[in-house]
Amino acid sequence: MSEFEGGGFEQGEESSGDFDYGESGAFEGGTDLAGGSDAKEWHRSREAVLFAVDCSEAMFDKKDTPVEVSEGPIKTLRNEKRTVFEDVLKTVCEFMKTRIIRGSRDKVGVMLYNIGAKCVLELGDGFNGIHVLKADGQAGELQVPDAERVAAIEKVGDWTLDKIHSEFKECDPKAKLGEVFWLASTLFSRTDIKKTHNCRLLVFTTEDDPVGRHKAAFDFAVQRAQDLQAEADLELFPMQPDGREPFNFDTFWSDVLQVGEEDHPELTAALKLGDLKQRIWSREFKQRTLNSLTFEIAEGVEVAVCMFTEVLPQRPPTAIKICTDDNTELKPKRVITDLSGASVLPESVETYFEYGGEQVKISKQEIAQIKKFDEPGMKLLGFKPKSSIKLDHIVENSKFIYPNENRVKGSRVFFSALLRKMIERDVVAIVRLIPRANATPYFAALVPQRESKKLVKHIEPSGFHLIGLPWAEDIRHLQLGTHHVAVMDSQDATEADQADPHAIIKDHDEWREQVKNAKKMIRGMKIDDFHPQQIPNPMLQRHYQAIESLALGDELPSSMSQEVLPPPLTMMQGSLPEDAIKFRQSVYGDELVPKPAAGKKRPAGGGGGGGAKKPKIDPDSLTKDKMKEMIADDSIQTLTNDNLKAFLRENNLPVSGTKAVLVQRVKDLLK
Amino acid sequence: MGQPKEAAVIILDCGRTMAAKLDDQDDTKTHFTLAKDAVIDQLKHKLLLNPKQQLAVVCMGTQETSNSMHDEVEGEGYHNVTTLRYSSNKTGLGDGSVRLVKEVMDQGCEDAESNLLDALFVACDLLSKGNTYLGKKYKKMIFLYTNGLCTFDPAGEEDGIAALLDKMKEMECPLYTIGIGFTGDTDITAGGGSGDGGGGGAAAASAGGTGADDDGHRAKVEGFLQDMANKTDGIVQPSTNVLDNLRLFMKKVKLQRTKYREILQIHPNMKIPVWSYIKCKREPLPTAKKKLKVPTEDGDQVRTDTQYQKVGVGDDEDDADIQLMDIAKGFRFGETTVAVAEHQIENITKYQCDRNMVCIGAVSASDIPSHYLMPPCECVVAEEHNKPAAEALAAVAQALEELRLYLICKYSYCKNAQPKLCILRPEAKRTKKCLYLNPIPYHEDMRTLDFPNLEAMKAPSEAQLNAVDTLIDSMKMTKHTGGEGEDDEEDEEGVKGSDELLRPRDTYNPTNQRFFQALLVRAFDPQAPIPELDEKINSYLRPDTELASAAQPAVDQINGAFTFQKVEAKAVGRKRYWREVLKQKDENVFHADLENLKVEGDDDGMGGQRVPKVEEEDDSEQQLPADKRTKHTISTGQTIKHFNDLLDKAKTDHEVSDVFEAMAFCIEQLIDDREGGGSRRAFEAIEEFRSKSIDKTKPQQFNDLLRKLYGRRSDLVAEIQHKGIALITFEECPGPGAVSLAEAQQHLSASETPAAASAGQQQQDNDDDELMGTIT
Repeated sequence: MSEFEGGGFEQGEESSGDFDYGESGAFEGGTDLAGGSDAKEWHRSREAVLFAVDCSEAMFDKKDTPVEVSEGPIKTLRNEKRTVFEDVLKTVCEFMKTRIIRGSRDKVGVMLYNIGAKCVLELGDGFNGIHVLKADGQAGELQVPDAERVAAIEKVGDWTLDKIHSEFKECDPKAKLGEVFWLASTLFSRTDIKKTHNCRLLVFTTEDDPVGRHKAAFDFAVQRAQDLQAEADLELFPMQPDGREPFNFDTFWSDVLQVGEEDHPELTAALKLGDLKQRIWSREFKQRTLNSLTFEIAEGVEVAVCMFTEVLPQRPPTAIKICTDDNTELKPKRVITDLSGASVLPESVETYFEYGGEQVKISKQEIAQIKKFDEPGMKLLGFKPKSSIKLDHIVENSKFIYPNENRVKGSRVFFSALLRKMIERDVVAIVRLIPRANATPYFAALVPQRESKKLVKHIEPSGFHLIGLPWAEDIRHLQLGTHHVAVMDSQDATEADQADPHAIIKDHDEWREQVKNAKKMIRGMKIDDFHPQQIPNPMLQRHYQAIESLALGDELPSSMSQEVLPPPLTMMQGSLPEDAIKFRQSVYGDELVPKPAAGKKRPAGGGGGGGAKKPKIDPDSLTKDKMKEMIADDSIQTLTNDNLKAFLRENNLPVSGTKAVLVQRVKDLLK
Repeated sequence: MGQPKEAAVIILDCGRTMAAKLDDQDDTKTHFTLAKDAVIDQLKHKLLLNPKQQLAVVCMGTQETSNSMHDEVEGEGYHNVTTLRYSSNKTGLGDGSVRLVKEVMDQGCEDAESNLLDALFVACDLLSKGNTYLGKKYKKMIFLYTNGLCTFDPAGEEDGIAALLDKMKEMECPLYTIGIGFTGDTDITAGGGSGDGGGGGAAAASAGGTGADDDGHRAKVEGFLQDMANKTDGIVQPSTNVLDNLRLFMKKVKLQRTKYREILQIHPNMKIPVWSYIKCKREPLPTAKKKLKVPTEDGDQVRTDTQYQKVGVGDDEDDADIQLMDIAKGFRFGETTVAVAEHQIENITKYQCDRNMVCIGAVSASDIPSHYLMPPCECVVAEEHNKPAAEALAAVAQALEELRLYLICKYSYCKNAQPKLCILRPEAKRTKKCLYLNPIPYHEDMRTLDFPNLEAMKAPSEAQLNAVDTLIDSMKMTKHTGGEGEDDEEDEEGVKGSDELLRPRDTYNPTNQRFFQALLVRAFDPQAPIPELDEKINSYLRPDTELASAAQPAVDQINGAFTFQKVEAKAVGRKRYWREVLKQKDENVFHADLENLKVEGDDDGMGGQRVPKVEEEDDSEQQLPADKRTKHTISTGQTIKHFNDLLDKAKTDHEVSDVFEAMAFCIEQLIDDREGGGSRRAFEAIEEFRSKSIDKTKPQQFNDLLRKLYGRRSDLVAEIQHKGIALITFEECPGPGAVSLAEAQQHLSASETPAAASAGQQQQDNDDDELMGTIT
């Protein structure tokens, strides 16, 4: 492994999983944070999410729900009869699966209330009308989700009201809402979950007046909700099946939730079925600080900011190693060995770089010294017009910057003023950023963002997007002449253009006609209200679907090998084939796909000329004798890696490494 | 990303005419030293930035003769030309190596004639010999460093020159000349004549001979070289232009290589064959290699292996490593570990899809803001030499530009690669029409952030806004010279001279540059320390000095308009519950805490929680008055345990009081919560509270609580009486707040109404006051 491998350029992204972050690991991905202990207070590394699902009658109204259906390669939406209850439970399953996909170690629990069961904990008399779901053989109510749990909850989704009535007859099904909150508090308090986790209770109900005019019950519920909210978040997901009265917040919930409507405009609108999924998405994650930094405006003038991850690509996980004896996970240990296989102490190894045939020694400490420029922080360098940010210069995933009043008082009002003025002037701030200790510096642009609530499903908060800028080394200067990129209207062409052999100068009318046809085709393809949130990653989905099937002992889904297009979008609804055909004919004539002009054509796959293909050698003909001959006249170098690997495999030798390694291995064998 | 293969011959003029001094003051600096240093720099950089390059240095004007051409004609012709190269082959070029550089370093200016044509023939011969085994994929070039005063006699060599030119054209080998004292050279003002005049010894004598003709001769040579350059696509440059650029800013040479060559399917009925190139991507530093400090018999190479251990087994345990045969592959699914059979692995990890770029729709450009774009950006252009495809792509780009739309596509750059969701942005400049491709996040890749609205919060004052405005004005990094179209024509050419500071194209990565500097120093002196960062590079890591000084008034204005106050990092504080604050409010001590009350969304800033909560500094607990100290809470879940824990920790009298207070509150909670439903826990807690109050001789709070409870519902009182829980008496515990035995018994036996109880309590309070008076 190298000191530079990926290091220094990965800007401390949040990790997607493999970290075992205890309480001290408030910052995922092992970000080395200098002096940011205060951030731990608000952002614990994990979450405990408890779903409280109402089981009253209204939750079992059957209504049309849009459901994703796979038809061949394309997914479409179809209406299906579903109950609200089923929809909620399905959403909970989705929620758990998403957590699994993101590799988080968050705990999830589900409780049903208004059900004829009694939840008894170690102490106390138990809670009437509440049932907490547990997978078989598991202790705690709040657990890191696993396959069994997901499967168990999926099954609950199929329960009918009759089944619930017949199976749970232990007590009166009517639960006191205050007890729901109380039980939630108790569960969060157990085994100190609340100390290490951000706790959240999500309540799904159709009931806008769960306590009626009963004053004591009302006070009790309000008091309990307050207690709960002192240590956890309470979020309401009001469900409104068609044909029922609109959900009224004022009767009860506005007193319980303790937030004004202006903070939560979306709360005033009850959920229709099908919206639920998107609403959950938007509330899926509590934000966590990536870094807490100082922002130096000028010498001696500093404010404080927090940095958050906005976009982080999730990749399918790599396989882990398991011990076949007991199916437990094994932890890898990197060891350095010499060529004889004996392990070597790290102290007896030195690092070097190759240069001009020599080994140039530069130690790890010296590399660290080279990479160290300054203390972590942001430094303002100046302002540029927004148009100076080129979109083809994107080299980093964007981060979000928000003032941190907890470290420097006055940061927020400064940012507020900066935001207003930067938007007004249409400028971006250029900063030099060292995200954490020992990270290398880079320049970035702070792009002001005004709060926008265009869609319920995605809100852009106000603050700054941090967009990393490239260095000169990162930008490639492309020579594109032979690709005829200079296509122009004859009216715009200059004399120099006329002389350029690669320029295509089009007759004005012909050019406009082609553009018109292209426009017509593209207009038909327009998707309104697009947001990337709508499109899940097919590869991840498929991967976890397969793992889930295996975990539950099911067959692998049959569509495994089939490619699935990502969009649940209806593909190009309005686009008529005629528009595309018309455009095609205007540029290609009768051809379907045009061929390049005869003459120079670089062979595919090779860069800068490829040379003749190596003759194929039948792997069976490679006997040991033949190999010896080839070693003798050094023609072994002409063999392909596949040939060499086949030979090595036959002789039970490892097949890893570069060609030089493979050749050496063959030579060692035949020595 | 590969690097282009290059083969270069550098011709260095070492002849006596190169001994001419650069200036009269410094004897050590001559035309030769200038050229030699430049060659050394060039070699060093070539080794660093393109190690695959084949290199040779031809020294002309050496006293020795050692070159391939000379050998072939048995001691005749091509005298005074020495070839330096390192190769296992007998002919042709060699690999670039440090030894070659060192040899050039050792080369001195010699007292011999340097013949330009001989040197060019030798160089061309080296390349053409190389040609037989290097093949056409090597890009060949000749560099020439001379001051133009070398021997040059084209008479009788016309055929030779024509042959040389043909050969160079055939090899597509340009001639680059770096001329010292050539036209346009501003630093070497002395020129040939005066320089030679100052030269000593043989150089002076020789120069004297040609002195009169110097300028004419140099012009003749320059003309010849210019002609050669024109015919071979080369260039003649005066040394000043080149040498400065050589020293600083090293950028690795990259081969322009396509990432994708297939069809772009805009619509099932409209397909364009396209190629795509990566436009912008972070350039990493090279990888360090490892070796043993002390080599063993097998050499000094090391390997990195991975061994596997069970979780929880210490590293030092010898037999902890699991044998290879006992290891299977698997995946995590939440907490579950799923073992996957070898034959299934491929089925799970490989996602089958074709290499393709398929559009799935068009979206408004405003729907995809810049912060959604992910690296790397690719440039999508029509297939090479395919004019209809180029026209189609240009029309699509133009149409997208005019409609202000982006295309959304699914992109797999090779078979079975993870399909990416991408946008295609149009670029529709006059001379460049193409599409830029950027991945955008999938649902799983996005994080939803939620913060209080900065604009809706306490608005900044007019003075503050003005200060920020002035700051923006004074720290502008661009000057408004041209319009928007300024950038139009210079895009790919990289024209310099714009007024923009820190343009990415001109700003080099300080880490890479510093590393290269260190590597170069170390390669030639293994003991040298890591050099300090070059001041030129360091300067742009700080705000521009001019800009900073211009912005000083604005900064002062900012300082005047805003107050920034650093908050010292505090220890992790305990939270207090809202209900405690309410309770305190009832007791009219709340006002003292109001400052500490923070309502998130208004003040806290991070928007994490919407719950009002109280935070406090508990590091200075001892000094604070009672109403500012930490307030405890006791959970209603494990009341007794929690109570005892807190009590154990409480050291001062005040702290014990606090814990008692919290306990009293908790008991009330327990009783309230169960609606008098006979909670066992509540009574257990009361009994525990009573005994601890006696232990600590602080009966006041317990008695207060009990009186309060007596004043409540009769069923509760009955239960208390039934359990025989009485007020704490003087006999049990002689502390403030204790009551007489008679009074305690009265409470135990009497069945009071709430009204009477409250009256009784009033009475009791008065009694207490008297009691306190007597005690104190």
